[in-house]
Amino acid sequence: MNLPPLPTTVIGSYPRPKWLREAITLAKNGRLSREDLQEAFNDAAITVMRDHQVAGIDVPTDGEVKRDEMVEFFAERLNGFRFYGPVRVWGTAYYRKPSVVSKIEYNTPMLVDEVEFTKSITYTPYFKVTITGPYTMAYWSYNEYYKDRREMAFDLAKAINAEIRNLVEAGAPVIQVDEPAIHSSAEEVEWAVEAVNESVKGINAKLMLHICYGDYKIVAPYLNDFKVDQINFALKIYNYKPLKLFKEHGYEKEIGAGVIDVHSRNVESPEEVYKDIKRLMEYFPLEKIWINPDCGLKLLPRNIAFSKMVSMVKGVQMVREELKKSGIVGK
Amino acid sequence: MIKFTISIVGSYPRAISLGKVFSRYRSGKISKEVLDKEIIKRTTSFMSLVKDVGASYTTDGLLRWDDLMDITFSYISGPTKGELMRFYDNNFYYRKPVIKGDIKAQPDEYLKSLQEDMEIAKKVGYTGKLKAVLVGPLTYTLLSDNRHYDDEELVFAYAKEVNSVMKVIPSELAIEIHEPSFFEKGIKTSMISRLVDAYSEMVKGVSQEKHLITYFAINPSKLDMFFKLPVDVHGLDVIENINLLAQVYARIAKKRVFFGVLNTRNTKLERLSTIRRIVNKGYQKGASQIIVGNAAPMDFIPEIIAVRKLKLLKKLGDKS
Repeated sequence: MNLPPLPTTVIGSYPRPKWLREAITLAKNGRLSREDLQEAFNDAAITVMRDHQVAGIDVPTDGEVKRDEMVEFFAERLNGFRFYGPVRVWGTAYYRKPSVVSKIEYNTPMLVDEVEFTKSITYTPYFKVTITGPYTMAYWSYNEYYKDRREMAFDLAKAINAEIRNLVEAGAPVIQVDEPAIHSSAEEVEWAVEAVNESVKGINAKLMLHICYGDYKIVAPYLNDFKVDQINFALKIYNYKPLKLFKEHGYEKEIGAGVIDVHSRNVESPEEVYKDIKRLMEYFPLEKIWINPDCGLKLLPRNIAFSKMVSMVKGVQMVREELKKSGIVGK
Repeated sequence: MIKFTISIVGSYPRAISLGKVFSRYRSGKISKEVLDKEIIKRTTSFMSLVKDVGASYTTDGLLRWDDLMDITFSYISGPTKGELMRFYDNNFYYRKPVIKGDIKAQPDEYLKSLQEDMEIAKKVGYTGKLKAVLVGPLTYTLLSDNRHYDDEELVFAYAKEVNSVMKVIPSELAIEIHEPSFFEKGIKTSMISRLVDAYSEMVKGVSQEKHLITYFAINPSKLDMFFKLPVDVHGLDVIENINLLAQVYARIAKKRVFFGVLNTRNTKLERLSTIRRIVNKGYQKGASQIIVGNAAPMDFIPEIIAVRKLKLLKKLGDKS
């Protein structure tokens, strides 16, 4: 891939424009046709791609604007799931947690349309598509069918592998498997890694894995076992303390370093990002570092999400300039 | 024929429509009176359900509170609400109390809610016993951001303050103490071993029936210590720990126990035959009373499933 040093990317999700949220409400109330809603989704993807371009992101996404939620979206499209109703995550926030009620099987392509549309609107050949991984899908679903979670996760891995193969065929150059739950259980992490590897078996694309909030100590000993090119982590929120842990465990893949706290509305300055990247470079060689936010930007107001991306890219540019001046990278 | 005594524990799912009323209140669109009226309406429906199920004990469903730790702000003053934290290994989050100074019992808001509950119970004709829910001292300490005390100090400071709260809880109520951290891994043995003293201080001079509720994990090595805690009913999540039941049975002779038999982290409905078998065996092992109910708060399942599960309890006595 022909990318500058310290390539910048996003984790995936981006705030839906307000007008899209209104279009979705209208469609739910039967006041907007399916075709018009589809047009609104496509227009939103173009808008997000444009935001990424203006901010200067090297490897963009479509902001996952066509997906409501990272487990729900796939559970609605795979065989074996059903929904009973919303459950609360905290306060007044809810999501539809699916139940597995029969064998999980791949049914129909889930993201191929998204990849094909993204390919038609992208400003770079190196766009990224994200897919929720088998362990997180299993962990965030109720199990009414399988003997245990392991059995469920491995059937999910087969289905996800089938989808990823279709995504590669459709032209996705970078695929990120999202596994925010992978470090939920010390007892299960060893086979969880195997399940993720099963999901990416035989895939010919640049493969990334996203791991975020939680106890990294649980997964740290296994990081080199993942059959992916890169793992990106939430690091800013932990003030980069996990870097030492990764180093101690001899982590040697590319690292996607989260330098933007997506839980805070405070916009990091480019100088802050610059300093954080310099800190990262004390732990990992330049050619193995990518720069990204800690997690998806979806829950932030759009103007703040955009400003955070701009700061991130400017901070990276400051380091790149310095590297050029010092002759470490070519002009 | 065995009589199945039913107890409804902790929270009932807050319906999304009630969640929207909370959102409207928090964004200033409706008054506190409108919110309170809605909470009373939903609590009334919950208690009617509980009455229909035939529960001998119940909470009010905790619909007022965002999470378990949120209740503590209504009877302890001093702490502020901090970051959202994951509630054990669930995809459910709570606000961490941040403790920067002395904590002090201040139960006015809490007592007001209990008075409302008693009126609702009377209105719906619920004749069982209402339970006032409190967080146990170990769980309070471990789920707080404690910047003031050392942890053992906080366990005792909290126990002392809660003692004064318990003393003003109306005498006709029972008390349900939530201690989900008890069996958690990595807790210092010194802290666990001093818990009997902290509990003794917390319940000193308190005459109401006290139910201690733990959930999610059971650690057999801590069971002896658990049954030493000075309460009337010891509660365990048995449905998630079926493989450890033999070790539980070995310790329940002549004791009153609560068995959490409805898994509130899965939508699959339990088999009545399984529940009956668990209870029968417990009595064979000499338990003086086995009370059954939901194993943990019901926030983790959709409301429709919570209703189906609770209605299972009603059928327990049908064919035993």
